[in-house]
Amino acid sequence: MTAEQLFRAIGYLDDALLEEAEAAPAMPRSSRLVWLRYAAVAACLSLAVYLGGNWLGLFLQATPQNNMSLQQDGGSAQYGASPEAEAFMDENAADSAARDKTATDRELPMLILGGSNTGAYGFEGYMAYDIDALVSANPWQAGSSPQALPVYRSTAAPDAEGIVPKPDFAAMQAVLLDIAGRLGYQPADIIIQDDYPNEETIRIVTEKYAATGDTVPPEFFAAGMVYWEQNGIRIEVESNLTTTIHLEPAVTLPEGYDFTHFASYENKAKVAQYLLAEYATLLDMEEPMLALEGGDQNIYGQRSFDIAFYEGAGDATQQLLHYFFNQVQFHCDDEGKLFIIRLYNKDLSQKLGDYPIITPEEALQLAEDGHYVTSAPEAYPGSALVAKTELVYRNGREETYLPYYRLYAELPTMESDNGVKTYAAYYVPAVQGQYIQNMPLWDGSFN
Amino acid sequence: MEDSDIIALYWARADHAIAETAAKYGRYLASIAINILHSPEDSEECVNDTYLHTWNAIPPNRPSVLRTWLGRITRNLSLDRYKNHHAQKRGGGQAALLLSELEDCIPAPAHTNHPVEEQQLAESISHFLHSQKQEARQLFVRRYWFGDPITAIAQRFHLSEAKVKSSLFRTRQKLQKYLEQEGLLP
Repeated sequence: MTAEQLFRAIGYLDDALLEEAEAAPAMPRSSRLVWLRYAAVAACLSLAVYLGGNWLGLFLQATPQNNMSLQQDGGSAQYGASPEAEAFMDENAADSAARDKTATDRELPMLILGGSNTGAYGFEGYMAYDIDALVSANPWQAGSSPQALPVYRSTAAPDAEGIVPKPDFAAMQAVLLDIAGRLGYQPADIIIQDDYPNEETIRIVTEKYAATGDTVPPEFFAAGMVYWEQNGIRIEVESNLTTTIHLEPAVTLPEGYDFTHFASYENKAKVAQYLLAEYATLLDMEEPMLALEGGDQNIYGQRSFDIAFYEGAGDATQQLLHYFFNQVQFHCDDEGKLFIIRLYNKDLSQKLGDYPIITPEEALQLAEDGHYVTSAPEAYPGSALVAKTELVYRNGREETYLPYYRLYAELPTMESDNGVKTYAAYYVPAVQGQYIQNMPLWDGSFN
Repeated sequence: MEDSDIIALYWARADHAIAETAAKYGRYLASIAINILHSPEDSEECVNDTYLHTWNAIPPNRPSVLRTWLGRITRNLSLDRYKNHHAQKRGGGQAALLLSELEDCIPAPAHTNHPVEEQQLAESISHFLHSQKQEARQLFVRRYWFGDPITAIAQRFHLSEAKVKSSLFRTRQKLQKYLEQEGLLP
């Protein structure tokens, strides 16, 4: 027997052992300490703790920055809480109620982080010879950053079972008609369909299940998208109102424009100006801002830049929100032709409030203490190796859209022989810690 | 999306089966590959290859636990890639270390390329681990199935690195004796 044979055999351990190892430990033993530490901070700041009938979180007294307009009845919201938090609340309920019975509608709800499973493959690392090679169009500027930023509850996040809320087909159809209208089509000409499978597909799938003695799960055939197509254009609107326009055949740009995957920044900038002029009506923006960014390398050493636009009108906060939640992106195919336009349209109707944010320097200190989330395979390597910091909203499948600081930390262990560095992303919540119920603590695994 | 739905997508040959798999398990699979290879490029390719293997294997297969089924593919592909790189004298990530530690379980006279029935060996090791204390077997699985670094295991279980190493060492010694008793080591 060899060690390799043993290693491969271990790969076939029974599932129960794997599930047990994955589940363990159910709750990090230190998380309670972390929770208590933040609770203590809150106490020091004379921030009161209140436990109401429907409340599981801690509510804090109003701050000068807090001019929120809560959507929930009575200015409150109901949230789930971790077992640790619930235990803490049980133990402190009496004290809490005694300390503060004066919750007002100006209080900010505590935030519960998590709920993101947007990771695809690999980890979020950017390969470049130097950090300056990474080009970002993020309108955030450290020197003029707002002191408070809005936080929203996602209306499209999957629940604990991974099931997304039932699609709002009326809203999806309205978006589709709007986009089609911007492209010059008349509503009367548009027949909207959904992606409910046709009879032939249903028959094939049903037969496949039946052949193995199973029945098709009832939700298998549920529709989740609406679309319209005509003469080479297809507009799809997903349940989160993201719209994708497919162009078939793909649109060839005039001679002199290089819209291939790995065209230079300058060439892509030229293409962007052309697209801006050509699709101004579709963009429908008061002050369209170009977001031409990228510049990291793939494993073959090729650099690419992506073209997007966002609304530049409004104050700094509004620009940030447009940049992160309402971009319009233009994509080329392998032949350098325009074949997809995607319009993001995140639902920001469920605002939880304007939360005071920490400084980038405070974020670095939190990262030093392990309070970050990352998909990188290594622990935070230290602030001395952070080459760049920017404020971002993580806008995937998170349950809550809130600002984070993204720290680009160089991982020396991953520097290639040819000098290409890897900058891994570490995210620190930008909202002040006393508003976060479960401040992340890196546990050595992907989170 | 439920695993059964993802598997159904593969059976229906729906293209977005892979996207759903990636969304749900991409990060998990990447962590396994990264632990073994310690290279983002190689790990990315291993995870992509995992999707391709899965696409080719379902149907006819219908995994009972999709997560571990996928993880096994990634783990095997990562080891294959490690061997390939090792032959080319390139970096080997943690795999070399893991294999080195597992050598403890194999006394010198038994260290041959004599084939062993993989499934039988796996069942024996599973049986052995079930007889161990919970924490010891969890540490063993985290280290030798998931390839977690010692530091990560220590943080996860809130133990010192020395205690993790000590536990793993003792478990390896016990496993060697068990395999000898089972007649799996000559």
